[in-house]
Amino acid sequence: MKPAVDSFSDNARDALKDVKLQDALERLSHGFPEKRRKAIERLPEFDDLRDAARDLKNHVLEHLDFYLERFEEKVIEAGGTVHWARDAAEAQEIIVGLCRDHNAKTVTKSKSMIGEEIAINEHLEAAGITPVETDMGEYIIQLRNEPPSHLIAPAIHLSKDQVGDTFRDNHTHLSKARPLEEPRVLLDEARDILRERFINADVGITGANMLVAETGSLVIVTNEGNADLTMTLPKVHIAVASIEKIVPTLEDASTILRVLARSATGQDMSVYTSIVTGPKRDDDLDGPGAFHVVLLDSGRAAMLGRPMREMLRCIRCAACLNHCPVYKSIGGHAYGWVYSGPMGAALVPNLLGVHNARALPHASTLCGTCEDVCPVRIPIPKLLRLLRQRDFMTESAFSVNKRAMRLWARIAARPRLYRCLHKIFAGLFGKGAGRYTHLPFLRKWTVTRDFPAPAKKSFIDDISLRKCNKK
Amino acid sequence: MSTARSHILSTIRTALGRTALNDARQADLQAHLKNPKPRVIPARGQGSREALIERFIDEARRADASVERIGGFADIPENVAEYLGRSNRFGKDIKLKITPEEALKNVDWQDFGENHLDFGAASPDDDVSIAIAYAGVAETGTLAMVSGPNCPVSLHFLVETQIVVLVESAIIGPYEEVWGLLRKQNNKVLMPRAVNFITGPSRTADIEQTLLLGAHGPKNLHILVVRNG
Repeated sequence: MKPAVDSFSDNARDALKDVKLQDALERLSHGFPEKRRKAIERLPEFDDLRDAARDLKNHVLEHLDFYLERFEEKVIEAGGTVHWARDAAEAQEIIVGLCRDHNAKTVTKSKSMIGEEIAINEHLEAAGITPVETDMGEYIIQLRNEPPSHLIAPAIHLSKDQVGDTFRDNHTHLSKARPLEEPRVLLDEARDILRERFINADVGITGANMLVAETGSLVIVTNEGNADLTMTLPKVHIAVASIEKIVPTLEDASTILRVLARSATGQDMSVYTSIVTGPKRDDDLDGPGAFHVVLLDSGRAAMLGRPMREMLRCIRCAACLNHCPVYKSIGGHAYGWVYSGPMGAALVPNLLGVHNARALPHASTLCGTCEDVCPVRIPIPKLLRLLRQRDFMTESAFSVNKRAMRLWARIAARPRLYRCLHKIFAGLFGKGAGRYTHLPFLRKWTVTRDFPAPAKKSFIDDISLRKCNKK
Repeated sequence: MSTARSHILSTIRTALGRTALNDARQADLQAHLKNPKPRVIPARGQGSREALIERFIDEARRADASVERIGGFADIPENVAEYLGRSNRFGKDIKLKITPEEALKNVDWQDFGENHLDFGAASPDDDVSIAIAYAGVAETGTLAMVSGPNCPVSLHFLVETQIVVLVESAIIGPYEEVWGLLRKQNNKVLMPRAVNFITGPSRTADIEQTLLLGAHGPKNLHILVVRNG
């Protein structure tokens, strides 16, 4: 999917009017946060685990080159292959090339944000290879040709009616008149269809939640079991992951696992956490004969320069989305690309360039909830503020913003002029109490908000008057 | 591809403001990799043997697994028959695939009839699987399954009903103990192809956040905790 980050304001406006979307977001805002809270209540060590998770990710980022090399050594030792991709184009070329080498006609996929980021499905299709998404939500949006609207619940924006319509339009071999109202019926229909796909796929492509340097293992987490069918049944397993997914040891992976599911779905542990290392051994009865790992940089290495490095701790749990007042109002599609919510607003400008994602750092009230719930304690509001600053610096010297700021700076640097102008404005607008529901030139702003009326007297006037009275 | 590799590594080093780590630092980090230390172990992953068994059972049930405690391997066929009978499936035309482990082969499966029962990896038309867990992690009621000739991975995912035998002495506290056991066993330091942590039957909430069991993996997970393994 091509990023369409520029149309954020229009997207957001449309999203607010979309009744079905608003219903879905209402469900989300009561679901995940409540489950997360309950899970954390059962684990008194949660905050200590967050500190440990933050510290271990910081350690990895500080020594990322070392751990990537160790990881590669261990994958090779286990009989697998590591491929390095500087950008999306290189990753696409590697993956399509591997599929061609193995004469693949169909490929099953388990949900991967990196897969979305590099738009691998489009490139497989262009090469005549059929990709089949197998995560239930991802399957639904693949049929609808939509990007995911949430990190862990990609079809969260849809109602069951919309899912039913989608299945009726696409599963044309089944009776048109069949009932499709119940989620259970929808799930069973998709389960049957995808079962065939799993069995017949030539290659399985997954992402990875973590890469373990100690053993060259991938850690892959799902609730559905789709990643395991994807990487057990076909004769080739290709995993694609970004370079910051490294953890040093299995102990470190365990620490991340303790905060991941609780922050994401509010489960203590996701149903399936699979640690896979290399291809099928000689005496194994099943498993893929070939094991490939594609490591993607695409802007991450450059983020290691402080302070944006902190964003690379992200483990994609989606807690920040689930608690964000902006995300909960407009959903994920408004953000215009594959990453949304606070983590998307902070990550995407780094991946695409600030000038290509100018609206995103502003898509936040800076309320700080995202930082409060983050399992690896990423200071997202601080990063958004820095991105706003960076965006401002790239503006032309003649932009309205910059001219206004320059004018204000000139006035603010001259106290007498400032107080004099202040008095005039306070005289015109000062009420001392109440609010303005209309303001000249700011009609758009006051349509949805009231402006608190300024005091009649400035602080300095007030304080000097009090001093006089005391005397 | 080697150009991409060296380009990425050098971009990392430039951004970190340094060159490749010196030998001494590398040796330090390597030592940590060779001798990994646990970080924070939650209290719920610690306790006496009996407390850990109880915790494992409670947590597994919370995750929607059913759990039964039995005396020995000889009790397995009867218990499986009873379990399948509860949902009216025993004696029906269902196919049972059992992991090719001697301990299970030696059990008397006569009541099941040869037509319905086989040992090996799962095939798509199997309905029920039986495998033996490498360990049970009490912390979250999680089964640790380790792949190998005696434990094919497909058994955990292709069937509708998954039955797992867990010997009491294999119940441990936290996940970290699984790594300890594996390291002790594999002196070559090579991990098995797959370690599958399984906590409850498969599920999805992708349709209107409605939680449904039985997404792509099993709809039912039945755990037999065996006293004398």
